[in-house]
Amino acid sequence: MAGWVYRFFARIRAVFDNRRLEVDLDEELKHHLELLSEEYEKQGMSPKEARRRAHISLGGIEQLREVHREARSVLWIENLWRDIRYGFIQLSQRKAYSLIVLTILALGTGASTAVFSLVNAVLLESLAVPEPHELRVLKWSGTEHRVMNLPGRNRMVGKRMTAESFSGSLFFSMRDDMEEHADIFGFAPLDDVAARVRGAAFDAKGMIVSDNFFSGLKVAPYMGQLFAPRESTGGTSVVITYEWWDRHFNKDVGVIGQPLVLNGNAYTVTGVLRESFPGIRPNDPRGFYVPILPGAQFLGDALSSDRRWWIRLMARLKPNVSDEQFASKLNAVFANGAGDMMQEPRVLVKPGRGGVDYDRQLYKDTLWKMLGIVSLVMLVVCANLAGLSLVRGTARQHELAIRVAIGASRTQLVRLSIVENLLLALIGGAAGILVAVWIQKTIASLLFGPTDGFHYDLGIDLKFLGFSFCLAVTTALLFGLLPALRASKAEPVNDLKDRGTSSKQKLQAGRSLVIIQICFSMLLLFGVGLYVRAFISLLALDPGFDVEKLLVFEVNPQATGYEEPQLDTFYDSMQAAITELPGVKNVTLMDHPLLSDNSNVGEFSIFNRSDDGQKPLHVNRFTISETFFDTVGVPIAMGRSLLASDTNESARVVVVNKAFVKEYFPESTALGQTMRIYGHDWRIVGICDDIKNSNIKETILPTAYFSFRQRRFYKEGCCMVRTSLAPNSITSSIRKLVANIDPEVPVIRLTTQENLLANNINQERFMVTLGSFLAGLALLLASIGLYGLMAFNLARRAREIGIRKAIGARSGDVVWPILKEALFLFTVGVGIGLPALPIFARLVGDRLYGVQSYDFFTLGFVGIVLFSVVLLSAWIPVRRSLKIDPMMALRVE
Amino acid sequence: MWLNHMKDMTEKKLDLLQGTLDLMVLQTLATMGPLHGYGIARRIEQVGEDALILNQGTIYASLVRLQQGRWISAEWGASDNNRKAKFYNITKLGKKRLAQDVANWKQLSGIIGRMLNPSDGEAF
Repeated sequence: MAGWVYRFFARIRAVFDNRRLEVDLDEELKHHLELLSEEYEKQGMSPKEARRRAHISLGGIEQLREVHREARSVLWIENLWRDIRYGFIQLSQRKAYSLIVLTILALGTGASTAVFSLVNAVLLESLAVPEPHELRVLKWSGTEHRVMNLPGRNRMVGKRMTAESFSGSLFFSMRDDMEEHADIFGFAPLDDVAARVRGAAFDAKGMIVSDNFFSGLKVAPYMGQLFAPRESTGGTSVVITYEWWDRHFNKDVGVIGQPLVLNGNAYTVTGVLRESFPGIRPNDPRGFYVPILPGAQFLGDALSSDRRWWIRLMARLKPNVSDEQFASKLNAVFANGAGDMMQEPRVLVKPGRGGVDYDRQLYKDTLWKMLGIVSLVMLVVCANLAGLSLVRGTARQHELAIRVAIGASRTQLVRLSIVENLLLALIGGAAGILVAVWIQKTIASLLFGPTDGFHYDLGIDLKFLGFSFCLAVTTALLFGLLPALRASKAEPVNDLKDRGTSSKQKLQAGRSLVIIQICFSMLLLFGVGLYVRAFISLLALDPGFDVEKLLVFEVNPQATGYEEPQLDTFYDSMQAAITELPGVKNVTLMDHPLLSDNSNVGEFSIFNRSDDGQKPLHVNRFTISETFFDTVGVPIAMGRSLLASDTNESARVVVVNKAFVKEYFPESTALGQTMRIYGHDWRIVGICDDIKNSNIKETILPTAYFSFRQRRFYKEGCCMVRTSLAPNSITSSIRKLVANIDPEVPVIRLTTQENLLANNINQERFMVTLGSFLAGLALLLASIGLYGLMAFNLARRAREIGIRKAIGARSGDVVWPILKEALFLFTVGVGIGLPALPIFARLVGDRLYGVQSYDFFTLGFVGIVLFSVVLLSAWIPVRRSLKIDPMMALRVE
Repeated sequence: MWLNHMKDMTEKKLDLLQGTLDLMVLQTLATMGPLHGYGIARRIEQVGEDALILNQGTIYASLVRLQQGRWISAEWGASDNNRKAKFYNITKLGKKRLAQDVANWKQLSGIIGRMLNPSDGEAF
């Protein structure tokens, strides 16, 4: 039995040892022939006759070799090997062609793979927990709500607010009442926590979670214990991720029971999560988990307050419970608990397979559109390569015809073509992976900004490689098969006789391919044109203040135990110290940076108003120091600014913006009026100009500015410095300075206002950059395709042109047909694309800032660009046609 | 002309049954000791007394098959007239296979013999 196994491997080895085995065989056969002819000579034949007889006895040498080869090796592998080697020779003989095809393939597959992997990472990836399809994310929506301190992504559509945070009491009642249908668990992110492990302090992100959080996700510990439902965990226990265990505890196996200090309070590590634990979204960067318990340091009074909504909820549906059953029961429970907080309360049950969908929602549209654009580019790539391949097929026709004439079978020809294209695909695909990695990095930094960091793992995985590979191979087969099939139909006699006749058909196919490219390129250009237009109008937006030479950073002294009145002292000494720095003009404080997508909209009422209490009034609240208006450069239109003398001891005052006045005091004067908010009365002492607060794209909200001396910062304080030098030149001195005041308080999120503004239009910039790149690629491809076709056509007609020149045609007569052809293709391509434009524009141009989806300016611009490219591609063939020497052209045949 | 010649030969002589050539080569090496390809071919022809058609070259396909399965081994050496030749020898594994094949063959030919000669045993 073993012999057959030996033989199997020996046969495969023989494939790669072909040459040696062949030489061996030849030697043996030679020896055999000599002995045989000696034998015949002994029998009395003449030497010549003996050799002849010997050859007859032995059999034909070529046949013997073939039989031997068949016996000793695996024939199809050997043939494939031969085809591959031959394919390489073919490709290296046509370097220019191969290089162009490889470049196109690499760019095309690279771009698509990069976008695909991003879509996959952000939109498609499931949480790495058991049965992720059972998970749901809960949100609520309602009108006229009276909820306070809603963190997270809240969306206002008309009067209906959609948000994702619930109150503690609602969570507990929903969890208890829904027990039969689902396991509802809650969590709230903890950012900017000052952590200390073994003496090393660092800025940490974590999560405060309900006791059934881990059991709801169905995750098990790597070490120690996780929080268990309905089991009183110690208030100081903390569960850490595998990564933290590695990074901060050096994988110490005795970590359980070791201390960990969070914001100055000591915790004890009770469990370590597995390396695969994803958090509540793929690749969540949070490192520690503490339990939600009454009196927990991170919660304050949040657990007992009905108006503070802070906890986010997910649920794991029980088997056999449908979404509808769950939602209808849950709605009743929610309406019961939240009825007095809003009108039309409703719970939204969203799929939770991929965890919370903050990033998904944010980037969904952009990414899907990008994928659409990239698919279109891929179509152009296919059409282009098919065209190139077709044109090259013509150049090879003669060669193929000779092959057929000397006995190559059709399958062999098709196989050869396929192998060649597969080789191109594999090499191009490999190069495409490199391109993809590069593009991916660019995309990630463009889309998500360098400051915040991107939490999705964009590494190269099997899915990524598989996608790239399949794409390249499919493309290669698509563009390779058509010419290959065509080649297999080659009629050697016709092709050897005349190279002109059969190319007519090919010209038609080539034309359609070029038309496809022109058509798609136009669509792409138009779509991207819309983005560019929108982006330009975004760039032209005025935030209402000068963003240049503004440095912004945050500090969180409260995290390290500061309370009033030391808090004020800290902020005052920091402001004073920074003002002293050379190159600093002004310094101010506020509760969050401008244009950082933060807003703090709350309810208030106007004192002594007849419609008081009829419907809730909303105002965006901003806590600042008195230097704010001078530093940012916001003029006070009426009344006075806030003053350092507006303190806890004096009357509460507030400055409002013009939008506030326009909204709430359209007719009467706002100055001197009193508004009730935060449980106190505040007198309006000043009216300032409008500026964009949270985002450059926003419509300006009615805003009230409070002094930090009368309304302390909720958490972090943000410091803004107006400099006369380049803002980045003083960053190190600022860090030093803050450390001088208190080394325990780190400077966080130090950046410039210009950066923050740029972040506002990150997605748009991303679309414009990547889109332009892709549209440019498509345009380049279309022009290469067009050029290839024109050059082919010219070569085909060189003889005709030669003859016409010989009998006296003028340059114009020669050039015009070529130009006419280019214009014809342009017209047809654009003509086909035009009706598709409105649909396409609606798809990509949906919700674009300040642009109509049918923008005639963009359309005109696209037309001109496309037309110029077409003319440019025709230029070289035109010039060449002028240079055709009649005598040379005729002699070629 | 050459083809016709071959055809004539086939009509007169016995064709080799599939797989029997390997058996013959093994048996030859087992009885004769190390031999080169020509020697093996001559020996088989002698035993077959020219009633057997052996296209001498096909012996090499058989030899490479057997060698790959490690039933025979091969070594370059000098032949009688001092020419370089490849000598084949049967291996332990080859002897084992030979014994098996011979037993199989005898059984098979016995069955076929009985089938073709019903009087010898049970009727077909």
